[in-house]
Amino acid sequence: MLCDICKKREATIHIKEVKNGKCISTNLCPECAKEKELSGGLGAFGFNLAEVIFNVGKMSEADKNALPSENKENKEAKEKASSLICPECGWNLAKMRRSGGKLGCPQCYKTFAKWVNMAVEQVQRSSVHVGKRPGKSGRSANAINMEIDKLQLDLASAVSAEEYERAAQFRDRINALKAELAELKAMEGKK
Amino acid sequence: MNQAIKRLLQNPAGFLTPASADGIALSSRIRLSRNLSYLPFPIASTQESAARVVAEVSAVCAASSFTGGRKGAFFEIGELDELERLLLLERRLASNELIKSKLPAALAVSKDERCAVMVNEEDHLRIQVLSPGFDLEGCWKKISCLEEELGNVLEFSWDDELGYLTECPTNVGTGMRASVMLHLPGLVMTDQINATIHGIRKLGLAVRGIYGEGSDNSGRLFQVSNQITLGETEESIMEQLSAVIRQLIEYERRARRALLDKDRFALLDHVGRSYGLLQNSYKLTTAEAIEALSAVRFGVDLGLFQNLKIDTVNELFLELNPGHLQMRSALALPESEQAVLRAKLFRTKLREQA
Repeated sequence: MLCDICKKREATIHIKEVKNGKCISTNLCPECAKEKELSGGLGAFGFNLAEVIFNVGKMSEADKNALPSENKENKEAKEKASSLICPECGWNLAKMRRSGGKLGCPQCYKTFAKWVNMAVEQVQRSSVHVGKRPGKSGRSANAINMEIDKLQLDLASAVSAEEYERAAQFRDRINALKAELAELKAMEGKK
Repeated sequence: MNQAIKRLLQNPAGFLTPASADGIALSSRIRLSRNLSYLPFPIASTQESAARVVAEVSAVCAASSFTGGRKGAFFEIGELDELERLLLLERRLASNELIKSKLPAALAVSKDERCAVMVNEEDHLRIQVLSPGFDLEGCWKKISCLEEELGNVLEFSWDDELGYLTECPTNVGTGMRASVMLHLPGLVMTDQINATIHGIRKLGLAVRGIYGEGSDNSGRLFQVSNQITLGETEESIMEQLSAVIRQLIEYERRARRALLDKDRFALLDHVGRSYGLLQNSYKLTTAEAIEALSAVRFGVDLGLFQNLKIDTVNELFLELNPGHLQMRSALALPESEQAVLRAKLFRTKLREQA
């Protein structure tokens, strides 16, 4: 098997990661792995965000270039991307790259959604927020339900691994969240 | 000198004092990144839009039950001189990015120095709560209240799916970074620190040395923090971090016992020499003082000093810094003169508690 980065040397390092329920495998040769590690970029942590976003972009571009029929399309996509400007603050991809992956304003999250999603996928555990929300009432029913769903999966896997202590913790958390949910519904009923 | 800065100098730093019974964890910190929804992030700000952020946040901080009125102080960074800025940095109230900001930037601080709001750092608001010892739970309770108080008036940028939107996507979601500062001389001296750091990083947490990396870290002080900010609740992020911290504290305890068992006199000699250096020098560089003080702190934890209190040691970790030294003498001094002052500080303090 050839290395995913250089596509020349034999891959001897195989990394398997489970993200959002999907198994992603990466195969690297020792040279490329070392380089990744030195630049702090092996896996999702200790990375340089700009490098992650733009190298990934570059890699797939190189792939596309290898196929002559897609060359034109690729060029157009590239031109389109480089002329992308946030209507709200004037931010563009060049500025994003120079600043190490930063954005100019809240609207940029929509303008550069494709790049933001790539960054989020590399860096974060999932792409949906489940924590604190604005407003005194705390989190929405939706977010609580989502966390319950997630915990139920955790609970099932803990049970099947016979880790009963952990399973009990998940169960308690689920019960607490269900109580929170009931309270929230009662409050909305009053309104 | 700025009057509010002067008041800060008269009090012990909120993040270090009083020291917790557990000598290993020095302090805990949580920060939340928030931005106003209707203005560009600092990196794309104009002077005008940044000034508007400062004006709006300062009004809310002035009315806050944490930082308002006589309960706190508000600093416009541009009005402070270099030493005053350095002092805020050393007390962990301001970051390097904030004090070097070219935009209008500000800092609100509570009287006990446990709560602070940085304005126009990487995000419009960097709300932070500090606490001595290992107390993420306490930090979280307080910062939730402070954040809600600010969020009731200010409109924070928010997306139903991504959560709180931040200048850098590495902070999006909760916008939370929780960290604990640890003193790990046992793991450094038993040569386990690099492997430990490597292991922690594999768990998706960040570790950085306060004065260098791994075994080259002269103060043997490390900060462990979460990296992930999206897809988990704040509580679950904190719980995962806390589990690792508890384990690290246990490893450090074991390493200390191993050191004492293996070569008690080598360890005593190391601590004793460091104490001698601090007590008898007439010139001390920052690096020398940090290295020796770290060893003395280790000695205090091991119960080798009857009269030297851990609070005094923690306080010295702060006072030995260039900003504090120069502010106390009310003068900007060249490094060689700072070294003389620093040595004098240690001779006096250690003889008081000999």
